[in-house]
Amino acid sequence: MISFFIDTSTNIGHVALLEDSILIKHIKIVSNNNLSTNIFKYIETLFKESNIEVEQVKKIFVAVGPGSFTGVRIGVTIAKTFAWAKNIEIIPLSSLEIMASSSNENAIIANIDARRGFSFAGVYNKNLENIMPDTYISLEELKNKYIGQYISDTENIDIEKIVKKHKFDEPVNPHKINPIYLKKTEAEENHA
Amino acid sequence: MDIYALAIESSCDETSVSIIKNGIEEIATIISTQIDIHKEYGGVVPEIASRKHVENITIVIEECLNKAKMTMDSITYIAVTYGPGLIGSLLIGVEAAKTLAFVYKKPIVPVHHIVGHIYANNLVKRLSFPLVALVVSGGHTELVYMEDDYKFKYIGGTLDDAVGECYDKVGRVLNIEYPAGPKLDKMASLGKDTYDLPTPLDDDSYNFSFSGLKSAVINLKHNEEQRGKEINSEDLATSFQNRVVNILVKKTMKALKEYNINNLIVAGGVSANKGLRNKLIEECSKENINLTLPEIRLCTDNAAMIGAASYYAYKLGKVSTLDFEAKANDSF
Repeated sequence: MISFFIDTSTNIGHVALLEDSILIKHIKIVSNNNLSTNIFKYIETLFKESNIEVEQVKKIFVAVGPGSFTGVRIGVTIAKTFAWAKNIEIIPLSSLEIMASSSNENAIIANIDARRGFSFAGVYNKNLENIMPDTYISLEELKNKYIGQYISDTENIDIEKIVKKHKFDEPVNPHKINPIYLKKTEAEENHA
Repeated sequence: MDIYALAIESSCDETSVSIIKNGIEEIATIISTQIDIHKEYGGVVPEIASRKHVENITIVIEECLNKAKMTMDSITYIAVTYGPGLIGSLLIGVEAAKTLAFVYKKPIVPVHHIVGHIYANNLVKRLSFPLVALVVSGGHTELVYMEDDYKFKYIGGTLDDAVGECYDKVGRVLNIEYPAGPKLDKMASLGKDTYDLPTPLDDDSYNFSFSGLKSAVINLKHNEEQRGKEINSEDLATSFQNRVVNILVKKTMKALKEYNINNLIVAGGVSANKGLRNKLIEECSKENINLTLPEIRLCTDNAAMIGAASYYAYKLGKVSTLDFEAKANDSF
């Protein structure tokens, strides 16, 4: 079974095609300054060089955040539109768990700078079991509570590992796939 | 063969999808507006708008196809607003449109938002060329000459605030809830032109300037309050709207005369303004000008106008690859 994987939630983007849980091809998008403009060049190349037709894709894995708000939205919009259009299964993944897949340490503190001394963080073990749920937390509190390997990029993620773990997850209705921001907009916070 | 466009518009706070046949016939349009959310903040909050667009996008596409009783198989190509607008909002429509084009292997036609507003008139009556378009919205105030489809020549425009922007700012001063345009328009219809306000940039050019008028309203209100006098909001609305409408209509009629054109169309959110519509109808009938006004429902942002505009772009071969850019600012 062919799956499509997309994660555009951090400064390094990823698109991949897998057969069952084995990578067919993975494209790492390093210079994604203009991700929204270029993303389909990568996706088109991915399918072309894998010799896979869109019709063969039966499942989509998508990073839904937390992360760059705009980045997450790009991946989520593509994934949910794709899944809706082709009526195929879609499985949301935590961007922090995807980050944690790059390590084999026992305690992995996946974190993204959320400015003002805060970060979006989640703690996972090497089997990607969740120790601390993804949350918006002050760096100070994070450091006091957890000791482990800090990871804050998606340079070396292990897509096969994450797909293997989630391939039997209950699929979600594509309309209901939405970014997980873990933070209200400033306007909402100031308004409250 | 009939050509069907599935068009997406998400440049501000409306998620809209429409199916248009041959550029002139509206098969179905869905407009999901976020106005009640943004009202709370006195204006559109870009990050909230982007979030809502993601939540709505596939639902709105599906609703539109259902309403049209069509499937993607009968859609010829995808059209989408690429700009100008709020970048985060635009991106949602653009990525969804690119995805549809990719998975269904359909051509994609990027459409300029204001060109869309112009072509809202095409859904009333096929545009007759040459024409002058008066574009009036929250971001635009322009006179455009069109010799034919997609042949635009800028005649003149605002040097500062757009007319819709001016309405919102004046609305804020008068404590009118966002969006102020329709409410000010209604108040203007009830009041009398009693306040001494300047006519903005009443010169020989085709340019407009509304910031002076805006400041005059603010100062007037402030001064009256200093003197302990209460402002008659309706009269102030009438006085303000008359200045705006008179100069818009005056310069538009002058452009028609000078370019010797007898087709006028009006485009953009402010084309829903009754004061403006009535004055234009009156002047155009006097001068024997063939005037087209968009349907009120299609004056504000919608995908039907994008679908209409896209047809002529499609006919002209303006089909894009999937690497076109969403642009916050773009002239046409």
